[in-house]
Amino acid sequence: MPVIGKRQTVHLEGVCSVEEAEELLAWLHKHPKGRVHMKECRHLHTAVVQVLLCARRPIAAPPEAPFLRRWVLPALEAALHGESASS
Amino acid sequence: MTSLEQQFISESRELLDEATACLLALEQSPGDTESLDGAFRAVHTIKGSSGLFDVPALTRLIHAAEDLLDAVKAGKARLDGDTIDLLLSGMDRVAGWLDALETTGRLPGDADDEGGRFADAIRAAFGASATVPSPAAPSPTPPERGASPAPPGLAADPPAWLAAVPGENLLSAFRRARAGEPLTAVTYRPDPQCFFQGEDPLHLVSQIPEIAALHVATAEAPPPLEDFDPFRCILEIGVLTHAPREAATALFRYIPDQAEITEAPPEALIHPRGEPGAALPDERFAPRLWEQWDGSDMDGVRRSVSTALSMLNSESWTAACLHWIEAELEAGAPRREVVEALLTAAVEQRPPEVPLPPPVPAEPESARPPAPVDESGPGGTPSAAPAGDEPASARRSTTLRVDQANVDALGDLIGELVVAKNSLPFLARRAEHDFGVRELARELKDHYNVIHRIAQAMQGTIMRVQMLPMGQVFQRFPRLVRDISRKLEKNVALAIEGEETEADKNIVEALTDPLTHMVRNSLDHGIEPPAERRAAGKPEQATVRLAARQEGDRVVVEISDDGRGIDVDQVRRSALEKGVMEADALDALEPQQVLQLVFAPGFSTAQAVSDLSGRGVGMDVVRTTVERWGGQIAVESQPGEGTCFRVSLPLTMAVSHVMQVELGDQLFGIPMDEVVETVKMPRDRIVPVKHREAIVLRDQVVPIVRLEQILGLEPAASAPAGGGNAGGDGDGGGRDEEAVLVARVHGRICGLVVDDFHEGTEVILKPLDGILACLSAYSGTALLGDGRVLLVLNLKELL
Repeated sequence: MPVIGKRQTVHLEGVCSVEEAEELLAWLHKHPKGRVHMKECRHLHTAVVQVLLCARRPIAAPPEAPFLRRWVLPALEAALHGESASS
Repeated sequence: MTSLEQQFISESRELLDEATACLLALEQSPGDTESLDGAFRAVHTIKGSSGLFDVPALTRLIHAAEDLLDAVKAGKARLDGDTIDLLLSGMDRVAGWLDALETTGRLPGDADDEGGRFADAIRAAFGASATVPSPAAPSPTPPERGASPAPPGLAADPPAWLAAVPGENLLSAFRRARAGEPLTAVTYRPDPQCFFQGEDPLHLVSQIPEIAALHVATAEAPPPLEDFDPFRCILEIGVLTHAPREAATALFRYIPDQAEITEAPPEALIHPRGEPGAALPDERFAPRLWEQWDGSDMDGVRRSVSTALSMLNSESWTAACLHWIEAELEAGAPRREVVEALLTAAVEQRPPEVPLPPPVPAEPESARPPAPVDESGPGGTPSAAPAGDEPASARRSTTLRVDQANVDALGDLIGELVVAKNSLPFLARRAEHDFGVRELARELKDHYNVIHRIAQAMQGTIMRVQMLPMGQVFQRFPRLVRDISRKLEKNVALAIEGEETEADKNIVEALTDPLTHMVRNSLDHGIEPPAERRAAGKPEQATVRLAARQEGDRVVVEISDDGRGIDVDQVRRSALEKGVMEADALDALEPQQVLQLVFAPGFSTAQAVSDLSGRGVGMDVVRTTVERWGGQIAVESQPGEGTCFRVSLPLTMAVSHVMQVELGDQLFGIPMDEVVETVKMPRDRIVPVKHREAIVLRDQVVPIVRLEQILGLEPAASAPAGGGNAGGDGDGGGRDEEAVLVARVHGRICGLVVDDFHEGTEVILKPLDGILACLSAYSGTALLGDGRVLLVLNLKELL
């Protein structure tokens, strides 16, 4: 079970497949201030990334997997900051 | 050969078959868009995968075919019989190349020339027909390119998402591109439903090598979380990579319509970004710089720029512009117009806001060598692919591709297990009789039953694995019938029934040649020319029917036509002329029996040897082939109404039932399906008929032969009565009766005198090979449970 909600932080771990997108969305919806911890995440399915992009939540711990860290994380951060800057 | 190549070959073969079937359907009903799409898709997929291998000739030919089909789809070309002929022979050539690729690992030496010729011919064919609707297009190739455009405007305009990529990524990509590395921009808008097709767009993107920048954002404004549908993909993904365009194209080959892949000019990357306000440190900066530039003091220019940069707020717009100038200066041959444009942007500070100040790219673009927009780049790229192109994941199925040799080996092993298991009853008997332990014997028998059950189940399973649908053989016939009927100028429709009927792979494959021959025969001799059919009051279009069905443990295939039928009198005359049968014997035959003579060796009713069927291979060869596989063949015909050949074959060859007989001290096997009955006949009931012998069995005279004589065995000591009919009184003891096995061979009843009968058994029949292969008296050998070898007789050859 790669999506684990803990109080105000949701942990994404290992390989998050497309099924996890819905679960993550439900959790984020229930926790409007929830943060995302993705240190142990090895792969995020595009659907999960899309949820994160739209939800714009602070990232508690960045992923360590190279592709995620190098390319996906900046996109998530850009979405987070871009929104807060323009609004 | 790598497994990838192997897969390419087998997959392409299937796709070629599919394309052929679709083309044939298309010829029947030219408006059939489904078949057109099917043919296009098959050809397109072959082309796509062929790019992974070094087979340029194949790719070229297939590409031409794809372009032609694409033009047809777009309504720019028409398919007529000749064009379809051309395409079909092109497919044949590709199939031949695949064979060569499989055996030798490369295409034949003349492939390049031939591929070129085919491609030219195909393009010419479609160029010719393409010019019909549009007389303004004189050359055959341009319309094809127009038909598969990478939208030209888009390649020229740098993708809009570049403006959102972090500046440092752009700068470093710019540096590498100016140093001569390729630069490719991919704009990928995944299909909204792509998650349901098992796709993971970012995973695909992560496989692009040498990523220089990645942009991921929602293409539309993201909906509030409560309305958000997590399974609808609304992303736009932009990737900058230093991989060549072909590398990216190969990755996106299954979804070419969702990704725009262009070679990006480095200038497209120039997007300075920064806070406005900071002016250049001194007004003479620009004039001084140009002085140095004109004096070719490039070091001085660089120094000036870096000095200015050190004095500037690094977040400022001006600094951003200078950073770009710095990057351009690092390149081998910095261009004045690029630097000029950037300098102007810095001085004028014109774009007061942060986003999108694009003053630069327009100018330097024109100064660049004309490399950037590559619409018709190498391979043409699959930009013309249809939206319906199936994604890779849709092909995933529960079937497994396995080398047939492995399955055969498994089958052999199971066969050996069956035989090995048969030794347990022998062991049990020995335990009981030789060692006197009944208890152990009983346990052995119990275990034997368990193993027997499992072995039977295994046998059933492996049999199913080795089964193939008859459709495998039938699928070649639409093409065959089409080609031959075109050649003969006859109008023939082919009806196929029961293609799902399954039989052993070997049987199905063995049927191919006989069926081909019979279908050829029907088309050539059976079906009348249209005029003759009209005169006879029949519909002009004749029908040839191929039907397969299962009957018990046999598969029956019928090849029938509604042609002129076989002339019984003609068969009689022919048989007489060729000495197949004596006149009085012929007269005694029923008409349907006369018809069976067409299978006799050396018989042919055709008046003239034709190009098609009269190749010296007669129906007798068909019969021999069918019988070699344990099958039977018969023919029925009504003059004027048609002919029907019926072939019946066993479903499987894996296990044969044989009856064991004893002769001399040896055991022989006789195929169970030839055995009619076994009788013990008192010796005095054997009556000599001339120099032969016969018995009377239920009021029927049955000729008998003594098997040991035919086989040339010495009369065994225990059965001295073997030889003539001298009568075996004396030491024969109780042997005052003979064991006669009544068999049916070639439809005739015959009695075989043997020494004794044994039980029937299941064996795995191995054909004789090596120097024994010429012994036609035996159809093979089998290993018995006790390790003895059983020779199985081939009665059809013996008698």
